[in-house]
Amino acid sequence: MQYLLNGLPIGAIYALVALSYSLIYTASGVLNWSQGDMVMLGAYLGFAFFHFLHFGFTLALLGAMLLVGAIGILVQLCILRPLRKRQAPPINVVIATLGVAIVTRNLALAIWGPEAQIFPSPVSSAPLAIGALSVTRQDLLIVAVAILLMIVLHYLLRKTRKGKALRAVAQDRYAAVLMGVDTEKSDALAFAASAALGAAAGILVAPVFFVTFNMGAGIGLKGFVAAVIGGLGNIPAAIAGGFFLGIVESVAGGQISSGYRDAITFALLILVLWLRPSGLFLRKVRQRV
Amino acid sequence: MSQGKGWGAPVVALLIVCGLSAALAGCSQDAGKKVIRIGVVGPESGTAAQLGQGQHKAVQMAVDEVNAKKAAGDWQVEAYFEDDEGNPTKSANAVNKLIQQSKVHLVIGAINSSATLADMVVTGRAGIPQITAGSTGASITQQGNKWIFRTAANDEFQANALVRHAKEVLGLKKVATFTAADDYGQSGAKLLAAAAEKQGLQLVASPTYNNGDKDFKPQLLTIKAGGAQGIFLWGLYTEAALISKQARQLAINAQLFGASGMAAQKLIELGGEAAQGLVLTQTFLPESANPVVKDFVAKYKGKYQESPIPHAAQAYDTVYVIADALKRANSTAPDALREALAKTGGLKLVTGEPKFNLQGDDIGKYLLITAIKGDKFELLKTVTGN
Repeated sequence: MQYLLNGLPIGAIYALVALSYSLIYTASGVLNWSQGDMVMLGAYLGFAFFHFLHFGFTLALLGAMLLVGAIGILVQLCILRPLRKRQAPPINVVIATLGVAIVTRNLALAIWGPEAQIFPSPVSSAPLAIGALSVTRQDLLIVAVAILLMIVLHYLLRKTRKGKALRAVAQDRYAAVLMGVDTEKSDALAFAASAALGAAAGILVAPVFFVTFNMGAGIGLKGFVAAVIGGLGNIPAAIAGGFFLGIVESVAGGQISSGYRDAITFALLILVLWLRPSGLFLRKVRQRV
Repeated sequence: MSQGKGWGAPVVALLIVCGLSAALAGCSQDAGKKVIRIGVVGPESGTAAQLGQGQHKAVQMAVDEVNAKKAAGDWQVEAYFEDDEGNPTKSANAVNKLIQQSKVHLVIGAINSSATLADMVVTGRAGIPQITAGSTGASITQQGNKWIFRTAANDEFQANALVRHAKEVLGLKKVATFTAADDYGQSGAKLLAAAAEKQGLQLVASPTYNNGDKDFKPQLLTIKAGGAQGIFLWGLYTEAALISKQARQLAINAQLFGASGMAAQKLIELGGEAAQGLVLTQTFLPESANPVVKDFVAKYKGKYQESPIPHAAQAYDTVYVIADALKRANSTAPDALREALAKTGGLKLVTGEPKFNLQGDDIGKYLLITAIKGDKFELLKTVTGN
């Protein structure tokens, strides 16, 4: 039971990252490999806001989301748009995003150095006992903020004009263009929202895991696995995949062997791709935002 | 044209002779000067960066001192540095580069035990001495490699001292080990298990983790379920700090122990409140009253505006061990250097009075049992005469 509980906060982080992969994938058909490094950027910018500008946690969170969101737009504007204009094959676009990831990571290394930085937790780190179980306020905060962000995203996609446009593009890019939707704008929006979600995941996880220049690699990859396990291109499925992966890792790490935790994760990925290629939480291959 | 032809052959011949003699001497600038080149390899970036950077700074400082006060007689010492990021493959490549390009006579390094084990293959093949000032893995000096020396404290000495402290001073009965899944951590796990058995302590769990892991709660829950009163960690400081934090978050109040590999100021900084009271063995404390230590700390602080870490102190001593051996050998020939190193004695250095046993382990090292208190390591007691 305690293992299950420990899987929730890390699962919430995976869910946010999975969501960011899925959002870009559905909206623009691109796998954006720089998502993990948006997590890292979010953590560092939050750290900078916190330390040098003495922002509170909420303000640092919002500031970092805004700034990293802008970087997301920049990526879309400078990388995706020109490649699309030249009708580059999808694989080129994917490799270009990988390039963004590597450049970002090395920039972070050059700016902040190789040492781990401490991001103070906004809440007390003392454990709360619930019967025989214990959780920390930070864990609760992670899960709460993650769920709040998911609800906000859902609202934005369903109720706002821009959100509806994004969903229209996801459903049928060509038809949307014919209907007068600016697909480039909706792509930019997807990149911004995804980057902001990643940044939020970064700040939430920073007090628990410290801030390091290569933190994005692990979280990014796990988030992607969660998205695929859940069902790439579907938002509820990505969220379910994130929580599922977090819990599986925690339970498998405790009950089987922690040394093989990553092996178990990727074995699971292969198994899902083999048995249910559209994801555990999707009935058939289809796209929905 | 005919004149040109007439000059051409002698010039070419001269160039060839020069080139050959340069190759034989190692480097053409050496002609007439007595120079020893030391290669230094360690993790200057990556998760153990602080350790490698400390080693780099201390070696540079010691080399400057040795040259200035002629501690190696009329020999001039030159140091060449390479970053291995703590990665065995990169480390072996770095040592290869040092030997082939920089033509070093001797290697100091590495810090990660798995990297040192990889480097030893290279230096052993080249037949030049290697001294590790940072690797404590017991297996390093059990390879039957005559070229390796160690100025760090063997893990076996540390494991025994820690377990004895847990039993005799703290009165613990049930303990667990929680170790990195690399050479360093696994040799530590074995040594701790052996020491616990010898002391009659019950080992209730012995999980492992991978370097770079962030979530240690599953393993900690296993340890908690076993009812351990003490947890022996064996790994580097970033993971140790996260483990201490997560243990407290799971309401585990067992005493934490660690070895010299994680003894860095960063451990206290990253671990914060959760790392308070963690007991660990090390070879050096900057606050020591020992005048040799005081002198070293003052010089290091003056040069780098920071307090030296134990890895720096050991690296600093290592340069003096080399200078002393070189003075006696009066040669950079590998065999002569090795012989002289093996006969080291009578030096009073920062981290001990070095004296090597047949395996190449320094048995004159001071072993300090310390605990984290506030933002410092506090000395509990000193163990000597291993």
